[in-house]
Amino acid sequence: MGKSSKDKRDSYYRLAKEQGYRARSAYKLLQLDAQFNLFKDVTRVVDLCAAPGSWSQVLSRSLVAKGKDRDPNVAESETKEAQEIQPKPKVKIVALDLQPMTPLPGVITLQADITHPSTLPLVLKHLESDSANVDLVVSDGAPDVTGLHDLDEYIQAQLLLAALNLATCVLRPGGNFVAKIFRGRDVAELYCKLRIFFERVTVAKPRSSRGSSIEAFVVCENYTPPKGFQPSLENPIWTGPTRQEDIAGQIAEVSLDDAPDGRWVAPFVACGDLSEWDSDATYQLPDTDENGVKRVSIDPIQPPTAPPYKTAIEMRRKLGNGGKID
Amino acid sequence: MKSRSYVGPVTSLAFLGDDLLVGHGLELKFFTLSSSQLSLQWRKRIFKRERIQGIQLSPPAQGGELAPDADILLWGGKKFQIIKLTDLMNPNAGLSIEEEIAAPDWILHSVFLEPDGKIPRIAMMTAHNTILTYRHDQSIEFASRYKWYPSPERCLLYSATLFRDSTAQKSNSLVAIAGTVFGEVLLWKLDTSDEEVPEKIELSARYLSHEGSVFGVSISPDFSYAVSCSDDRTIRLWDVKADVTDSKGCREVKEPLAIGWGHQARIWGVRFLRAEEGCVRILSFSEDLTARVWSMRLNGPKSLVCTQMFKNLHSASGKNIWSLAVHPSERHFVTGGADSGIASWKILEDALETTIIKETIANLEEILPPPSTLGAGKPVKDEPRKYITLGSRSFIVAMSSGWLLHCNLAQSRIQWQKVGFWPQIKNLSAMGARRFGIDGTCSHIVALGDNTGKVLLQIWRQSLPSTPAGSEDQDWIQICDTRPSDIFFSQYQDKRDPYSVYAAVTTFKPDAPIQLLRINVEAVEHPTIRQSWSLVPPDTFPFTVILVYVGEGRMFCLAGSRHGAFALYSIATDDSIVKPLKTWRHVHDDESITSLALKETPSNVDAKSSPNSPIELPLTSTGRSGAYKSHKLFINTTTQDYELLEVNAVYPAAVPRVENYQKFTTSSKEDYEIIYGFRGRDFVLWNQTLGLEASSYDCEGGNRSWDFSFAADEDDQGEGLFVFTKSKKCYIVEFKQILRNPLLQTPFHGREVKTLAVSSQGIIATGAEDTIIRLSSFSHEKNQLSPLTFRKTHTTGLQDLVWSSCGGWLFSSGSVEEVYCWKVNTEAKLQPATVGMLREAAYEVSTENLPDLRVCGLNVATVYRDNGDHYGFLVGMVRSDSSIKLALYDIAEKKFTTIAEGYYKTSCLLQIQFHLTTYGGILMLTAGTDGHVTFWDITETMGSCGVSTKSITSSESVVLSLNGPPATSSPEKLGSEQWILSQPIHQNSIKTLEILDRGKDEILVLTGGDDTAISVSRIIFEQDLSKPVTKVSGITTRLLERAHASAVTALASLGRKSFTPNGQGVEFLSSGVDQQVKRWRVEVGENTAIGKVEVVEDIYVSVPDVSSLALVDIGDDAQRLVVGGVGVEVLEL
Repeated sequence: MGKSSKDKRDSYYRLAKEQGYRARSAYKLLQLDAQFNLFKDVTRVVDLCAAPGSWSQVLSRSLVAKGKDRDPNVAESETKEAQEIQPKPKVKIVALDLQPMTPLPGVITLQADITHPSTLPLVLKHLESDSANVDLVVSDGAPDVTGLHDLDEYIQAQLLLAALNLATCVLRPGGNFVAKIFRGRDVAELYCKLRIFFERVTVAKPRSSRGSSIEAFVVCENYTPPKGFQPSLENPIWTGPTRQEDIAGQIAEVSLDDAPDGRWVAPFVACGDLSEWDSDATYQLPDTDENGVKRVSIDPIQPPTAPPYKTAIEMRRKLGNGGKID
Repeated sequence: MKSRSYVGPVTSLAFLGDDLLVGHGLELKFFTLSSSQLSLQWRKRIFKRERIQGIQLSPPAQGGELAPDADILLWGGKKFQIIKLTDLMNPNAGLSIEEEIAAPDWILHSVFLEPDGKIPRIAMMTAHNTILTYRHDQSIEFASRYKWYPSPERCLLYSATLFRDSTAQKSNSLVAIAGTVFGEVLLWKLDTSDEEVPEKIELSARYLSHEGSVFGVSISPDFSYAVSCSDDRTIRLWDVKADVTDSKGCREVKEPLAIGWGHQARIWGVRFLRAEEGCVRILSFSEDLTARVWSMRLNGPKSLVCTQMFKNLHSASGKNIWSLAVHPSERHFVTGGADSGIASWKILEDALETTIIKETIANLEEILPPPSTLGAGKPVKDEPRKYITLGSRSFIVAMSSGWLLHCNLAQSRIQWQKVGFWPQIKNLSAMGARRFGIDGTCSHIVALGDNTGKVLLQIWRQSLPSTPAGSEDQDWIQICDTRPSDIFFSQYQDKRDPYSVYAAVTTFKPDAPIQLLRINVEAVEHPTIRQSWSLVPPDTFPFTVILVYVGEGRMFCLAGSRHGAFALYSIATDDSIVKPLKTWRHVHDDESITSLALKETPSNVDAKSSPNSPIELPLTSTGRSGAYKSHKLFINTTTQDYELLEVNAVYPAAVPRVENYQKFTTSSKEDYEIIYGFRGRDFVLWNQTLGLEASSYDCEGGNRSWDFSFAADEDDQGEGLFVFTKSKKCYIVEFKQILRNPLLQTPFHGREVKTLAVSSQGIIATGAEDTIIRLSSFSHEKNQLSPLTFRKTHTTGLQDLVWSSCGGWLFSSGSVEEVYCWKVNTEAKLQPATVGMLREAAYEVSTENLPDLRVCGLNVATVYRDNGDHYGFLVGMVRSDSSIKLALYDIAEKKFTTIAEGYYKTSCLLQIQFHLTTYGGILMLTAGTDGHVTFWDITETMGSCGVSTKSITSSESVVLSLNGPPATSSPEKLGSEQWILSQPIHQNSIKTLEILDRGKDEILVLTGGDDTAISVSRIIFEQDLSKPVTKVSGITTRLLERAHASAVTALASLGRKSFTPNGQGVEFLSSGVDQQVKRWRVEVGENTAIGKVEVVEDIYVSVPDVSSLALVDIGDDAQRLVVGGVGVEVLEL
C-alpha cells in the first residue's frame, strides 16, 4: 500500500494521549474556546456527532470540573481524583451520536439520530427543559471521505445543516453554534445561510487542525432567527424538501443585503497562539523527558473503533494465499 | 479567461449502441466506434459548475433502436439537463449551460418516466431517500413542474438506483433501492402514475448486515435479486422477489443470500450481468483498482465466486474508478477513473473461452522413453534443464538426461518432437539462440554446448531444424578446452551482412578468455563458424550479454557483466586475442546486465562510412538493478576516446527485476515499449508507454529455468511464449494481445496534483499525491498536456518541483526528507521517445529519527565557476521541522554538498525563494505556517562558502558564481542574525509566495494564505555599508482579506506581461480551494505606494483542490494558464 505523506502521530496526537483525551480533536475545541470564549457563562450544551467523545471531554473538563475525567479504563490512582469531581448541578451537557459512546462524567450520552424528529423531545427531556434554552451547540461530525470532492463537500454540508436544524430547535436567542465545515467550492453559500440565523459568523482554523486539511470551523454567535421562523425537525430547512411546498424554497438561493447572490465569505480567524504546537510541523522529541525518564509510547486512551473492513481482513487471512482469489 | 481543456475524474459513462457517452468534468464527450476503436467525436459543456454524475437515455436503449425524438438526461449534484438527442448529436448545435435545471436536492439517480404526450417526465431519487418527479413543461411555473413524494425514511444515502418496474402493470411504477451511510440497504416502491400523492409510503424491505457505508446498489432485470457493495469490502446478494411483488409492510432481512469476499478496498459499484438460467452474474468495481465478475449457481452453494478479475485498471497510479458502463452485448465494459483514463475490458462468456493467457503443464515423461530403456546404467531422474523459445509458437528444451526436445504449439494440439539424445549434453547449461531474418523468412540459429567444449549449431526454420539431427560427431565443433557455461548471441543484425551472426561462448573459469564466434548462416543445413576470437575479460567480469557492431570496416563488441559493468572491444580480423579498450563499472549498480541492444541503426554514421570517423551508437540495456536504460556509446578510434553516456533510465516499479526491453510499432502505427521481468511471484509484461500492465502470470518467482520470446512473425504480433520449470515440470504459458491498448482516454495522475512547474523548454512537470512525477509537453492543437514520460520513484506524495533555469535539471521533494535531482535530456522535438529522465542524485537523509520530515519547499539558483563553466546549482530546501538546508549540486560529480543549514523557529516552513540585488546581495525569502514572510541576507554566509553573485541579475534565473571547490568542512550556520525583516502577514499558513522583480532593487512579493487573504508587498532594498549588506529602505504591504472564499493556494505572476501598458500597474493570477481563478490588477504609485487593487476577471474551474498555477508560452506572445489540482485544466488568457 502507498505511504501517505502525513504521519498521523503528530504533536497533538501525542499530547492527546498524554493528557488523556480520546482524540486529538479536543485541542481544536480548546483553541476555539480560547479565541471566542465559547464556554463563558455556558450551562447547557449539546454536542452533536460526539463519538468518540473528545469534545464532550473538553466540555466536561471545562464546565463541570477541572482535571481528568472518570473513565472505566483509568487506573485506580486516578479514581480518587475522579471522585472529587462534583458536577455543578446546573450544568447540563448532552452528547449525541449514532454510535455508542463510553460514558463521561457530567455528560449525558445519547445514542440518537440528530435528524430524526424524535430526537428533539429526547434532548429536551434530558436537558430537563421544555423550551429552547441551550447556550451552545457544537458539532465535530464528518463523513467518510470518498475522494469525490463535490459529494464529500455536499455530505459534510448536510451534516452541518442537520446540526443547524437541531440547533435552531434548542438554542436560546443569543446562543452560539460551532460546527466543522469543509471550505470547498460552495462554502460561501453555507456561510450565507448561517448568517441568516446568527449575528456573527466567523470561520476559524485552530492551529491543531492541519493546514493541509480542508476542514475549518464555523463559529456562529448570537442566535437571532428571522422573524416568524418556526424551527422544526419535521420540516428542516435546506436539507431537501419534506413536502411539496418546500420545493421552491429549496431551489431558490438565499440572499442577504450584502450578498445578493447567496454567496458570502465569512471573516477568517486562525486560533491558538503561535507559541502552541504547529500541527503541520515535525518535532524532534528528546528520548527522555524533563526528568530524564525515558519516553515510552503511550497507548491511546480510546482505541480506534473497529474499521468496517475488519471482517474482510479476517476472511482474507482465513483464505490464505495473500487473499488472492484467482 | 476561457477553459480550453480538462483532465480529471471521469464521473459517468453510458453506451449509446456501440458508441459511448462520457461525463468528464462539466463536459459531455461522445466517442464513436470506427474500425473497432472508439474515438472522440465531440465535447460539449453541459453545466456551469457541476460534474456530470449520471447519464440516462429515453426510452431505455435496451435492444431496440432509439426513437428519433429520444431525450437524454444528464445530472450532476443539484442540477440536470434534458436534451433532445438530435440536438446533442448535431455537431453544430451548441448547448446552453443556461438551460441547466435546478433540483431541490442532490440527485443520486434519475430515470425517464412515460412522457406526457410530447413532454418528457423524469423521476429522481435524492440523497435524502426522497423521490421527486419532474415534468419538463417550460410553460408552467417552475416549482410546480415537480411533484414531491413522501419518503418512507428520510436518511442520508451514499447510493440509490431507481428502476421502472417492468413486472408491474402500470408503466410508471418505480422500485427504489438505496444504500445508507450506516450500512443499510432499503427497498421501496412508488407508483407515479396517479395524480394523487400518497399520504405515506412504507419501506418494502430493509436489508441489514453490511458493516460500513453502502456505496452501490442494483436490482436484477427480472426484479428477483438485489446486490449491494460497501466500505466493508464485500458485495452482498439479496433475494428481493417477494419484496418487489408483495406489499405487506417492511420485511427486515438480516442475512444476505450470499457474500462476495475478495476486494481489498472500498467497493464503489455493482451491476448485474446476463447469466444462464439458474445463475446470477455480477460485475463490481473497487478502490483496489480491480473490477471483478462474480457468479453463483442458485441451486448450488450460497457463495459468490469471482470468475474473472480485471487488475490494475488504468495506470497503476490511479486510486479510484468512478464510473463503469457495460456494452449492450455484455461482452465488454468500460471504466472511467479518477486518473482521467477510460479503458475497455472484455468479459468472458464462460470458462472455455480462449483467454489472453493459456497455460499448459507438459508431461514430458509421456514423450521420453523411460530411463531404463536407455540401457546406459542407472535410471536418472530427468527434468527440463534449459529452454530456448523460438518465437511464440515453439520452443526447444534440453533435458538433464541429454535429450533435446522440440515443442510445436502452432497446431491445436501440442506436438513434441525428439531432436536428439547426446550423453555429452547431460546437465547442459550452455545453449543460446537468436532470430535472424533473410528475405522475409524468419529463422533461428541455436547453439548447443557440450561438456567437452564442443558446440553444435542448428538452424530452425518455422518449427523444424533444417540441420539433420546432428548425432554425427563431425557436427560438433571444438571451441574451448573446458565445459562452456553459456552461449550468448549478439542481437544486432547488420542489414549489409545478414548472413553473419555473432555469439560468445563463456566457460566456468573466471578469468579464461571468452570465445567470440562469427557464424555464417547462409547455408541453412550447415551453419559454419567463419572466425573466432578470444576476448580477454576485465577483472571480475563474468559475461552476461554481448553486442557486436560492424560498420565502416570496423568491428566493436560491447559486453555486459554480472556485476553491472560494460566492456568495449575493438575487433580486428587478424588478432585472435583481444583485450578490452575500456570498462565502465556500476552502470546497472552492481547487478547483472540482462539485455543489450542497439536502439536503432545508426544511419547517420553509416552514410559517411569513413573508417576513422567517430561513431555514436544508441543503445538500450536492462539489468537486475531494476532499470532499463538508454545510452549513447561514443567511439573515436583516432583520439582513443570512448564514452558511455546514460541518456535515460526507467525503473518501472511494476517490474522490479527487469529482464528485457523491446519496442514495437503496431499496425496502427503506435509505438509501445514493453518491458518484461519479474515482480515477486509474477512474470510481468509491462507496457511502459501506456503505463500499465500488459499481462502477468504467477510462476512463483524468477529463480528458475525459463525463457520468453515475442512472436517471430509480424502476423502474430502481440503474442509471447513463456516456458519455465516448476517442480521439475515444464510449464508453457502463451500470452496473447500483449500490445492491446485498452485505453480510450489517456490516464493522468491518479490523485491530486500538488505541484506544477514549466521548464524553459516548455516541459510541464507535475508532481502528485500518487507519488508520481510526470513530464508533459503542451499540445498547441489540443490545448492540453501531452504525456512524455513519468517516474514513480518517490515513496511519498510530491511536495515541490523546481526546474533549473536552463531546463536541463529538475529538483523534486517529498516527505521522509526525499529530495532528488533529475537530469532531463531532450531533443529538438519534444516527444515521448526523445525525452530522457535520469535520477542523478538524492539529497542525503539525516539520521535523525523523524519519519514525517517533509521537504515542503525548494528553490534553485544556477551556479557557475569563476572560469565561466557551469558548476551546478544552489538548492534551497525548507522543511516541516522549520529547518533550512542550502546545498550546492555539482553536475559533474552528481553530488549534493550542504553548505549552510539552520532553523527558522519551530513552525513548519513551506516556501523558499532566492533573490539577488544589483549590488551583489543574496537574499532568501522564507514563509510557513506562522504566516510570516522572513527576508534573510545570506550574502556573507554564501561568501564564506565561495558563492557570490554574478553580474547578471534577474529573479527568474538567479545566477551565482563559485570560486574554488565547495568547502567540505562543516556547513555554515543559518539563524535569526541573518534576518533583515520578518513580517507577519497572514494569520496562518502561507500557501504560495511569488516574487516579481521590478528592477532597480524593487520587488513585489505576493503571498496567498490559508486565511483566504492575498498580500501584495512592494519592497525596495538598499545597500547598507554595515553588516548585513542589505537594508529595506521602503516597504508597503496591502492585505486583501477574503480574496477567495477559501484558502488561497496558488499565485502566478504574468511574467513580462505582468506590467500593464502604462507601467502604472501590475497584474497577477490567483486561485484556491474555492475553484475560482482570479486576475488581479494592482496600481503602483510613487516609491512603494500601492494604489487600487481590483479583480478584473474571475472564472470557475472544474479542478477541486487547486494547488498550483503555471503559465505556458505557446508562441505568438500568447500564453496558457495550467491549473493543477484534482486534475488539470488549461485556460486561455
